[in-house]
Amino acid sequence: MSLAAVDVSKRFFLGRRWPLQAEYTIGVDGVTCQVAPGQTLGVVGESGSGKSTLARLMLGLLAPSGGRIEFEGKPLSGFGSGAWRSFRRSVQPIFQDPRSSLNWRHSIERIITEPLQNFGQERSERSKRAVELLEQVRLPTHILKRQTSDVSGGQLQRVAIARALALDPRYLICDEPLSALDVSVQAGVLNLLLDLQASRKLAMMFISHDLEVVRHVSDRVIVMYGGAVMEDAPSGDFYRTPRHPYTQVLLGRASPLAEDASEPPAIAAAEASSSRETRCPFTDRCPMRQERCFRERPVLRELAPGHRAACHFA
Amino acid sequence: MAAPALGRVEARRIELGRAMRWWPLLLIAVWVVIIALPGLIAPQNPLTLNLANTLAPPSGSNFFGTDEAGRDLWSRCVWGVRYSLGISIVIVVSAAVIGTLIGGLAGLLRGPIDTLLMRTTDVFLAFPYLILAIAIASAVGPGLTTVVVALTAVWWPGYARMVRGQVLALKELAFVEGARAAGTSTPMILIRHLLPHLLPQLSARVSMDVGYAVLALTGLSFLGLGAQPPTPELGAIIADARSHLLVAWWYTTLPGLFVLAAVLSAMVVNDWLEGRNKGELSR
Amino acid sequence: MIGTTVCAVDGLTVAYHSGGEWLQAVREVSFEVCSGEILAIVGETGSGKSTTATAMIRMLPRNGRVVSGRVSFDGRDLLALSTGEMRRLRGQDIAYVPQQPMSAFNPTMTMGRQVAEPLLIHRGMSQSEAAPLAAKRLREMGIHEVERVMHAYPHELSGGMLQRAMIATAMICQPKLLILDEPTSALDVTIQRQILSLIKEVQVGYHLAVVLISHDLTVVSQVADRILVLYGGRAAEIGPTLDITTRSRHPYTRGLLRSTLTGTLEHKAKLTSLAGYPPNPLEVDREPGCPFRPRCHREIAECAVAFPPLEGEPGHLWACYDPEPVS
Repeated sequence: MSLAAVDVSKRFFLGRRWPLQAEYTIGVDGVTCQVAPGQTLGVVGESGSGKSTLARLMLGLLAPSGGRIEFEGKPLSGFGSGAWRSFRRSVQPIFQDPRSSLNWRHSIERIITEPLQNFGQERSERSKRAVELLEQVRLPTHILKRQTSDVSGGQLQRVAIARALALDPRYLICDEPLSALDVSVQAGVLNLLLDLQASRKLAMMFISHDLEVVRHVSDRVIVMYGGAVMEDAPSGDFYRTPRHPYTQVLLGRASPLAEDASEPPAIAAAEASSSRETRCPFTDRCPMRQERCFRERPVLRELAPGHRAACHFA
Repeated sequence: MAAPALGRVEARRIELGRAMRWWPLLLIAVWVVIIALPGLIAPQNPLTLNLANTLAPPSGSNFFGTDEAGRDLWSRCVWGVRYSLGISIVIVVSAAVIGTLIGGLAGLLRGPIDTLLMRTTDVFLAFPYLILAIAIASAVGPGLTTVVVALTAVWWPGYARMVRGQVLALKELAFVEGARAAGTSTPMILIRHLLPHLLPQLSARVSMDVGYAVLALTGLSFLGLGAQPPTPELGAIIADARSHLLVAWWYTTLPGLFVLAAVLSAMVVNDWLEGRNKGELSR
Repeated sequence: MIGTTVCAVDGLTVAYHSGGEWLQAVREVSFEVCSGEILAIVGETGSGKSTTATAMIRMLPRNGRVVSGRVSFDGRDLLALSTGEMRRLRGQDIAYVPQQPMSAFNPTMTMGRQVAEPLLIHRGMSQSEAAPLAAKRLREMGIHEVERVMHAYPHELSGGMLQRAMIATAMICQPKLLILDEPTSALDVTIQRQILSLIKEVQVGYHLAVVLISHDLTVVSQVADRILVLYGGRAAEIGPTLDITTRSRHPYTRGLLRSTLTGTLEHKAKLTSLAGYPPNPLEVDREPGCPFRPRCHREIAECAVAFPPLEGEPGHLWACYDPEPVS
């Protein structure tokens, strides 16, 4: 009974080049991953890797262009309103910047209790629950009537967590939950998330560009680049023996190519003739790229038990 | 703590700025009194004829003098501005409500509904209000209703376009996504989340449009399409005053001053609201 | 090698006018930076680090004022110069790289024109004279396809390349002091490392004095020679990087270092974290005493009375009545 992406792709329509050729940008490209109950799946990637798009697909906020998202074995595309309600209760988000992801014209209490309001809870019940939730995220109850501008960034992210917990979900999708916070506050919020996971047996999808944090909290890690999964491994293996060149770059064990480095002629020719679908997405910066990487897109293959990478030369 | 040395002029400017912040509210209060309790400032009946005292200049008993039927001009102006301002507000608010609904729906739903609504809006936008007023007047006769219908019909498209544009941008904001993930339905997103963000710009525009509506309404009545005698409406009064211009200068001037005051007040309120809204844009 | 003092800030106090009153964002901050070294100013929300930098070069917003202090550069007090004299220094002797390279460039001008602009202003060159110099600088900063970049618009370049171009623009008149405000915060992790080493290279190559502002202590410790830690508008600790990272004495610095992941912690174990939150910039100067008090586990009576003086060993100072013992 898990939340899974099965060969999921998402394209974004850019415009139509006359007369009939539509242009797209690829958000996510053939990703398969699973958030198992009680476990944390870490997703690492930089900007443009597709990790945020993946989060939105898992939350059902975007519909996939290809593949499917499955919740407890059933695809989201087949959900009726009852199934959606149940899904929304079970899967909740925590976004990067609480100042923009929470409506700043609402009071803290209103923000936290909105999910409860949507599911029909009475006002008096909601107020009580708001107090409980604040206590669970270790915030003082006097902030309930305040506005978001009266509250610090770290506190506001805890408010976002309280709101996410309101419906007692089974899955938390965290998209860069610490990145917008002050450094001295990040550890506290991280500890809170770890505590909540332990006490509520929550499953988490933890997305971040910070490798150290992801490794620390995750049971399993996937690395994304250009919308696709480059490596997929248990978090210990991932750090000890990274297989994919991109992972090695992220860990500081290799240097990527400069953004506009000139290439040797063979590579330049190969690059010019290949299209996106037939080459490895990391060819633009890979220090180990060869001519084959442009011709043939590597698939995720198992290099060690439970440890997969998408590279011809890993 | 010790404040840094500020130039004397600058310190004064900051102080004055703070004190003056709220005076437009005072202005609104004054107009509310005029509209709600005209009897308070104009005790005389604007309709009472007094043929013994026609075209009298301003005096102790008649602040603005009298018109050609001996009616007290001050009272007629006070009641007149009540019509002008009051009806203008009704026109503009109706236009805003209709426009918001149409523009909001178009922006949120997109697709064919959006296209249909927006093309309809464009048709109405293309109409000059004067022609429309004349057309309606020739069909159902002149009167305040004619003018209200004509003006509302050409005013709502502006709001529809503005609101649609805002909704298109607002619905991409991060908290809308959060609301959807929390299970909020689309109509609830509009009401609970988007409306509070639409109101500042809407109210600023409404205040400005009230000024323009007063001018349009007064103009149409001046042409005879609006208020009919003996209704004291400022435009109608000024129209009547034309023929007596040479012997009674106050007859045209003073109602004109009322129109000016109403329009200027609307602009002042608009300025104030825009100033307050400026801080909101930083989000 | 560390040379002479290029810039010395002494007792700088800066206030902002907000909501009808004056709030001090920076309080009596002093430091110096010499040629041939990178001084990192590290702090979080409310620390006053960006305000310190903008105050130094007199680019505070309209509601900001320097209340007291002195900023010596080249034997002159920058705060006492006329606006004309200050303008001549900016871009020429003192270079400032603002946050967010993508927003700092004019989207309607090509990169070539923008990188060359300081030369046109300060050296009176024409565009054709300045262009080859601009190209040379861009190449120096690690940009390979220089011709393409010179004719490109900002939106056509990636964050990393824009930051390199920004540094090239700053360096084009060979300043003596380079100030960088959060140069790596908006960039991807892999690019961050490259930009940091670029800054180090530039600093060594030109024997510059560099002030690097950041919220991330671990990131700057890779390249900085000395670090100044700010908290609540005050200097908490200042010293050589090694001292700050391994022998810090101020409870805030210690707390920051301890709460970052070092790889030795057991999987999913909780981190040591600092209690509380950084001070609200609007309220930070209301109470006397040390601004770190609410979060400090070593608080003693004196802490509430007055801000502790900066003292310690030669080169390594801290402002604390009851500092952490050497670990």
